[in-house]
Amino acid sequence: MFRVYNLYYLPLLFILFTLSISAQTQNTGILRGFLSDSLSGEALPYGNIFIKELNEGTSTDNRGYYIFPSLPAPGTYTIIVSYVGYASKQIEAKISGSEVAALNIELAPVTIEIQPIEKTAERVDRKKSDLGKYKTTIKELETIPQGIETDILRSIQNVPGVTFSSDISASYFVRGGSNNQNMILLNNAVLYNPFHSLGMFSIVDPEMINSLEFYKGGFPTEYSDRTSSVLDLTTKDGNKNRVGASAAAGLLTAKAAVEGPIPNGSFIITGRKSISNKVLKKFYNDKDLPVDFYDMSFKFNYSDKEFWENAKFVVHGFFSGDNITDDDPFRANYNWKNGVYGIRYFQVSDSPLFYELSYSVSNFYGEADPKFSAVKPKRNEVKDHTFKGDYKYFYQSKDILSVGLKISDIRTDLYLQNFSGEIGNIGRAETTNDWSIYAKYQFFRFENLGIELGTRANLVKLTRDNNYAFPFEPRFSLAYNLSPAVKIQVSAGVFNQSLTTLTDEDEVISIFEPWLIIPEYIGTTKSFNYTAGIDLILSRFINLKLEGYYKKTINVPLLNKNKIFSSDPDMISAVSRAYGAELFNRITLNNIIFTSTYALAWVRNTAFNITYSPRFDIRNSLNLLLQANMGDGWSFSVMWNYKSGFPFTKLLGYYPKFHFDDAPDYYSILDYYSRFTLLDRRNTGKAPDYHRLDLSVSKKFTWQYLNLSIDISALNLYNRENLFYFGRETGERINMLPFLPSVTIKVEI
Amino acid sequence: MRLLFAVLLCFSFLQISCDNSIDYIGDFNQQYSLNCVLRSDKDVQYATIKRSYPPGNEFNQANVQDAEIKLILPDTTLFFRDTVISNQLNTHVSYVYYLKNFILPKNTYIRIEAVLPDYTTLYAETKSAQYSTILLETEELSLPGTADDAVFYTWRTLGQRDSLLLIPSIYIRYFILGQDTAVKYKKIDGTYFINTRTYKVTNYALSLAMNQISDGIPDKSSINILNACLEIKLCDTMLGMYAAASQTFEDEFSVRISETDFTNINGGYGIFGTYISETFDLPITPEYINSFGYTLAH
Repeated sequence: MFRVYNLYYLPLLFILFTLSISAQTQNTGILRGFLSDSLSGEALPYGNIFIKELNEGTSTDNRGYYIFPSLPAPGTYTIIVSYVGYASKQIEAKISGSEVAALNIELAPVTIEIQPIEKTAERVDRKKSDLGKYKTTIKELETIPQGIETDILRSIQNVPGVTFSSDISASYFVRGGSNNQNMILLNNAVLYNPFHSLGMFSIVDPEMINSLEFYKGGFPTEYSDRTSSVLDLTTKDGNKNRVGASAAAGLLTAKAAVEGPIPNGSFIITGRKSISNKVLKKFYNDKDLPVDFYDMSFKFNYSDKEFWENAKFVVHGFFSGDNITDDDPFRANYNWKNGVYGIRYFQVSDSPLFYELSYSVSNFYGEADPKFSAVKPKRNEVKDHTFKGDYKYFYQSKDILSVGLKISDIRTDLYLQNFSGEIGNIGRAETTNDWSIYAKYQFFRFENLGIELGTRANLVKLTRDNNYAFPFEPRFSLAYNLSPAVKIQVSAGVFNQSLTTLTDEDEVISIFEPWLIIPEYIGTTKSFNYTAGIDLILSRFINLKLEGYYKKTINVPLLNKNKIFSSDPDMISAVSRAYGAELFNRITLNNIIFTSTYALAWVRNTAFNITYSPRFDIRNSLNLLLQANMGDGWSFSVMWNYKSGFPFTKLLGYYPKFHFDDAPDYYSILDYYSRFTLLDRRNTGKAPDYHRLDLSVSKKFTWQYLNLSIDISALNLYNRENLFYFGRETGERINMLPFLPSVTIKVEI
Repeated sequence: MRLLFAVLLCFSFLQISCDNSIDYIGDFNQQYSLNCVLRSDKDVQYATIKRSYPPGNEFNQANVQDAEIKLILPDTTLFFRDTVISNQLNTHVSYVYYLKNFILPKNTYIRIEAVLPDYTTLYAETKSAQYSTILLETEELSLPGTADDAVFYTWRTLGQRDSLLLIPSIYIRYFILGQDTAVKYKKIDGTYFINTRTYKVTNYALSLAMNQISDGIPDKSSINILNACLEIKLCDTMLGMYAAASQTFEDEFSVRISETDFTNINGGYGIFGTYISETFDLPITPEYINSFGYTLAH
């Protein structure tokens, strides 16, 4: 049985929604369409569409879709379209009254990789709050020094407010939240274990990604069930005009992609496979890490106006696997894999309404098979079936109403061996259903003011905590333009989470993190976020953003390290408080972009009545990035990253710990001892500051009918010995990544 | 000029933060551990007391001498004596406390108290396991196994049980002609399936152990194999939890920078526990023994 809250407001909501839909008047018209690449037909997300006569603009969403819901009609307008890496365009559009004008725009790519943004771009979306929001394309990410290969999750670590526990791991922590409070969506489906190789790289190959939207907190009501951040990834659709293929190889992986048109659509298939483990030694203290991994994806798109007008159907899938296998029967085997697939239906109607329905399945399986070793067996399974419906309606007043529904069936199983050797399933919850709805109203009718009011309502919850009496997650944001160059923003919201991982905070490298539904005795994790910011356009070339935040999270599940008896709970509840400020500055000059970011942050966790700084409580973070295009296919970038030392627990000393292993002829108590580390109060020490200089040079050129690109990267140019941890038993100092050169070659047909 | 200033500022900043040294050692505070495991198959019991030490000090100098250790039973109190012994490999000596002529009673509350020379007191209590009869259910006991290249030993326990942990082990019993007459035991690695009370020994593990017996012994025929034996230790609750907590070996790739330490010693670290031992003889086929060049003992 599941708990169902009062549903009386549900039909009321839909009635209101239906009544509010009104026909266009004679004096206004609608302009909408898709922005795409003229060669491949690939959607161009976050492109800028500006109407010169009205001095207003908008940006395309992650599908490349844009809409102006109420343009004075009749009228003729000059549409200015711009996008990084593409030639800008000016188009004339005629708008008649009470008509929907469809204008699909194609832009041609230019050879210059880093192109200054048209000045009109700063004026678009100024009434929308973008606090905590970061969006980019893979083309922009590829220009940043990455090391062995471009990695999406590692790229996120350079965003202000985002930090890591070490540069060996691709895990990230956002504004004081732990890494299991981050959601990663791939084509609207949740990825539960997004890492290869013990967390060193992400499973998502950037080759398949078209757009990336990242929210550092305060994310919109469309997103649910995480309290810290959302990373929303959309894959490419594939070349609609011709068949193409690409292949690339580096020190770690080899990959390939095939794409092309199908009748009324397109497809893309990508695959990647590890080819060598040698370079992983650099990440793992020069020890062997015999992990073997793969990932592959596919996407088929179909849109035929004869079959279904203004509709688009997408079928997508993604699979990944990691294996550590050993022929020695006395060494354990490990494997973990993800399987994600789904279907999406996107419909644009004749009224200023569009909606999307999607169904996705996301499965994760992870296992530690001890064989004859002393390793404890572990198995984790997650099965997530989710249906979503999202509706968006644009009023003549320019206001927007968004409503949606999400129905999930999530099952988790976590088999662990307890201290007495018995294996039990601690991951199974009584209910697997999670139903929620949301509604959001955005006021854009005012000249310089934008207000968003919304809430989610949990109708049926995964976590059956008795103390959960308030099923709503209200969210609010406001953006006010003091002048065309100054925008002030505030936001506040409540965010819930029902799933967590059984993670040991002191485990700096882990095989995988098992997911389970938060037990009833912990309750739903709930976060209260408050953010304020100011956005300044200082000149045509300089954009400055300042944000401050405060976040309090309750019912944070942590591993119970004092568990002794099997009846003791596996987890305890903690409270987390985080606050800070972030500064973002970007200077764009011809073919040079200089980006600097700074973050000042505090994080405090309280558990067992002890308040401490978690490992990711990093006080100061500074990131300086210089990207330049030198012409003739050459580009280079240099990045310097600085962070204050992370907290760590000091060593007090050792004592000889007795290991019980009596034999009939032997007393182990006589001499069977090993050194055991005694630690000081948790995280009261501070490691030395971290800093690192990375460099990347790339050359793109054409040979015969092939497009070639060579990237040479070097991480940690001056080989800074950044502390990672001290070995518990030996006291040996282990450092993070050393100087690491790499080269990647890519070929495209 | 501004550019020059900015560059100088950056380099100064780099210089300041170039310091990579770290004071990773906290304020040392002396701690002690008391270890004592009472066993039913011997009438000599041992206890040790170790001290903690700061980094840089010697591990082998951690023994605490001249402490007074007493064992308190419901109707009597016994005192440990101290001595110095060498380890098995004679590489170092240890300071230990011993108690002679003590047979572990079953189902009894026992307390241990240690008063150190600096008047620090360590104490703990435990209850020895109530004896349970163990019945071996495996039909074919002999090694090596003929089916699936392994042997599965199963058993069941009779009688009322406390919350206790069973630790099975299998050993090869042998002696070496020309050396001392003591019977030696060589452990065979096996897998314990707790839920089904089954202990699996593969032929591979058996042959590994058999080969290791002759390490450093040129005359293999001097090695006389008696048999193998299955020993099942019935640990009391405290010892069971200590043994389990010590086996925190989750996997060989994860890196953890702290470890949970179980102890039932008040005022310090270590363990005070008991176990009852039950042993079953397992024959090894003569042909198998001879295949290693060893002799079947009679």
